[in-house]
Amino acid sequence: MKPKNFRDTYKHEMEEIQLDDKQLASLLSAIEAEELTQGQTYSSVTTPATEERAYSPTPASAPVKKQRKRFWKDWSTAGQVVTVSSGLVGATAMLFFGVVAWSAMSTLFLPATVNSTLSEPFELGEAAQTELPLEGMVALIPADNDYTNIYTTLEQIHERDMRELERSRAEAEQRREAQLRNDSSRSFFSFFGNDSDDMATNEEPLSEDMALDSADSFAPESEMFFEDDGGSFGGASSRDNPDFSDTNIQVQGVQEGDILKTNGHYIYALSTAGLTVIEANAGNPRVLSTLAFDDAHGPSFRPGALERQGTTSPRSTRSASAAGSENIYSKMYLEGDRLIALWAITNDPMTSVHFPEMAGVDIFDVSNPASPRYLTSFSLGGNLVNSRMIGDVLYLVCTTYIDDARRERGRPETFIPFVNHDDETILAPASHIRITPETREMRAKYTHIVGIDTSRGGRLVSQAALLGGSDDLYMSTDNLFLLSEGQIRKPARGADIVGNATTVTRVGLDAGYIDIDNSRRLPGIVNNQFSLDEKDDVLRIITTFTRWEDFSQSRSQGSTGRGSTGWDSDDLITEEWEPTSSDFTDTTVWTLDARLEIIGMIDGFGIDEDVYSARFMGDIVYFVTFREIDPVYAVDLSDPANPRFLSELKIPGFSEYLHPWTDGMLFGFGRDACEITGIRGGLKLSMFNISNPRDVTREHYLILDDYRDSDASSNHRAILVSPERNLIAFPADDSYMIYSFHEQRGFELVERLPLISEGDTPARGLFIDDMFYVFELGDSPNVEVFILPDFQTWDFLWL
Amino acid sequence: MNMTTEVCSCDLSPTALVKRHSARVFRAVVATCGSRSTADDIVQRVFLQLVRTRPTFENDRHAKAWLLRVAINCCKDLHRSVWQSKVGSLDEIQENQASTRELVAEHTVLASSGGSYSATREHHPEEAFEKAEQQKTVLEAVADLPPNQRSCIHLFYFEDLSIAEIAETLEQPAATVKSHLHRGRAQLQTILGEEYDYEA
Repeated sequence: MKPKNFRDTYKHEMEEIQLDDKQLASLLSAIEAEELTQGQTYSSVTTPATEERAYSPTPASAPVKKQRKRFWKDWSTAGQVVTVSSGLVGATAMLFFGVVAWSAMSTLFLPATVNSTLSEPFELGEAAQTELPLEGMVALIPADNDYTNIYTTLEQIHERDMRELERSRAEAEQRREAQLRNDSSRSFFSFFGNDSDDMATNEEPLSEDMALDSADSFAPESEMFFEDDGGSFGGASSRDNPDFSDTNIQVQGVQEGDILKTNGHYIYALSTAGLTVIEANAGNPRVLSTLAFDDAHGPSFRPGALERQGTTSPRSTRSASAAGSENIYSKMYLEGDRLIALWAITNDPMTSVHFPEMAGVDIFDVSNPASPRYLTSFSLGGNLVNSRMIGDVLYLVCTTYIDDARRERGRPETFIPFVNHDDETILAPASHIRITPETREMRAKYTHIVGIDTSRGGRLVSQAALLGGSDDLYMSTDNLFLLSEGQIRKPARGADIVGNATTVTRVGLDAGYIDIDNSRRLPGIVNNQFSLDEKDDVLRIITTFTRWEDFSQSRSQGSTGRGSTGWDSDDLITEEWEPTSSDFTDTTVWTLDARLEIIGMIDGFGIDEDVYSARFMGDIVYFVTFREIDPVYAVDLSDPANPRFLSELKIPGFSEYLHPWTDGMLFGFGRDACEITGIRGGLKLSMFNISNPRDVTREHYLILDDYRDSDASSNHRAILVSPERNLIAFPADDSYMIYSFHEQRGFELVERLPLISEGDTPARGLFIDDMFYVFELGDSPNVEVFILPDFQTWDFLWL
Repeated sequence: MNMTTEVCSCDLSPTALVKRHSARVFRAVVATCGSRSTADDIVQRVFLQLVRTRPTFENDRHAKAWLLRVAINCCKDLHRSVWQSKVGSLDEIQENQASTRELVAEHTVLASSGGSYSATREHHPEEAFEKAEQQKTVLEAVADLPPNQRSCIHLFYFEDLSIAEIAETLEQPAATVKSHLHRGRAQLQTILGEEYDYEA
């Protein structure tokens, strides 16, 4: 038989895949709205737009200028702003402009502390116009007892959204007409305009939500572990206290959920097979029981009808979950004899069917691991953002959307977040709800925080909600810091200054009791949870600010008064500065007090680079920025009011995860990169000597040329770093790699285990006493056992 | 940004690019992330990035390459985030297996169906399922490849790019692209048998 042509067949099948008209129209309207937000269209590059910009009601240049100068002075004389001198960062003209630009930016944001008090009525329209509440401190308004002001706010937001849409549409229309007149070659604009108008009422959340989505890719779920290096500790309900490795976390005492948990005797693994309970059995693992989600919840699981029982049925068939049961266990916690499994039912954005999204937690008694017993469950509406566990208390953070169509004034359950437990619906109490002015959110949503005591059968301790979304979080043992990305826009001399921003909300935690304290908006965004740390009530946070505006616009629009370059020129930024595709970025380390007031800051790091990793170790933070080369910076934060730059080490490549090794060593996991072009190479292991933070050096490194991708690059739970056992273990492409480190010889490969299923199989390694277990948890779940320290193969088991 | 942007004969405004290339980008995204469920989100992200960063394109080919690159990078980011946010996410694993089967079925039935897996599968889900198990379509086979191989295979066989062009688009060394293609083909051969000729 003559073979068929692959190319033709592939093309033929691929051509079936198309965006339908509705998707295209929605895409176009999103683009248009974004163009409006950006304040201009492509065509205005060559044809300066004359219309007013969308968000610049008062481009009053003179007052801005005055204020800017004054502010910079105030800040610098107060000694609270420290900028790394250009010499240290490798002085370039770019840096100079960068710092100046930054100073200009910071003065625009920092003074904007909100004057409004909580007692003042929340006036959305005003907020949207002045935008002041978005910068600096963010006023959080408590909810009325009967949720009246929440309802009113939701209505305002809804109306605002509608107005906004209306206005965008009108403006788009006007612009199209103008363009039509100017440029007949773009005549199809009007054609598309009609399409997008039809779609506009169904408009998807725009830029804000996009930013949120991308934030998901940051490691949102864990905590830190500095001083406790390897993440290995014996603990748990064991008779003979085996020495075993636990999930790699950020903060000691704050547990993070993962797909593999052990107490040294039993191992709990999440895979397509369900939740498998394995007896470690000194290196001869045995499967004791398997819990499939459908077994626990039943195929007809519905909100409000949580009927299930713990079962120990054989593993579920894949078709069961493929058949539409989208709720699955995504993470676990193990505390004493309780196994806490998290699940989520999410909407597929591609389908038109929308059911209420739910997230929840099932608590099992695993005192008899051969037969886990279902105890209870809690569920809440929304998407799980993240979770943490401190002692017995589990904290869930969810994003809950409000369905405007269902919202009814007299029925708080239609617009207030709730927890379902034991057939009972418990609304978040008004005393624990705060409203934040989220004027750019296209849809109203809450961040819902729930504290559950998992001991004694499970108990809802308290819940709180913030009207406004969250993307990521960092949790210390006392506080939760919610991070929400947004943008800052300031009208400035005709061209808007646009940049990204993060709202940090401090939430006090006490054994499950949750109190929302304060919010502050900072310019820039946060890389991941490792960019935050709390020590002695001081929050240290690293943000990278990116300015999106193309300032050459302001020149072309005939702005006047260009002075010489220098601090007091308004036009520095436009002068000789060619924006690149990602424009200008700058990284800042902030220190904030318990009220989130700024104590100090230091900026000027990684001009035009992004933060790739950070690790706080006591008073010092080490962080890595990258574009073409990889500076490792050290900053001393022992005096929060006066952060001090200590050192900078430039080497090719970058680290995406930093972990303390022994004796003044810091391990970095990342990628190699070309010094000139920044093109990324293989995975790279680095060992930095930080015994003198003023002179950080790289002792050893190893480039894995054949391996480029690792789960551990973006998920610290996938890597095992144990200085005690001298083990560094992580998945890389289709292998699981185990390395050791020697001071003289550097990194040495101990074992390379090919994974059975190719692709993105999640793999985890752990050790229990002298046995090392490598779990492959994809669609062919299995475990392979080795004997330490020589890694002789010992056993293998399909799960 | 160069103010004297070369005006080329074709319209390079975002709206025009959406119209011209959205289907192409969509296909590249579907091929790369193997999942339709997030594809239009990514497509939107790609074009929003276009609006935000306003790169200057010399011509349509340049714009096309930029869009494909950003789209594939977005998929990679997503890939990370999928494991990130839903680690152990069984449905994603399922989805990876099921997605391509869905793809074909969805496109024939999507408009009327609720989008759930079984509902999109023709009229005899079990039968179709078994059939799919036995004989995978080319799309399904490609979806079983690792993401890097998927994107290379797609650009090579669908976009008809040369290895050098793929390397340029993906900002990867040509040798890497070659090895992705080579491994991808080998893998396809094991999945699909000797039924296809890959050289043509």
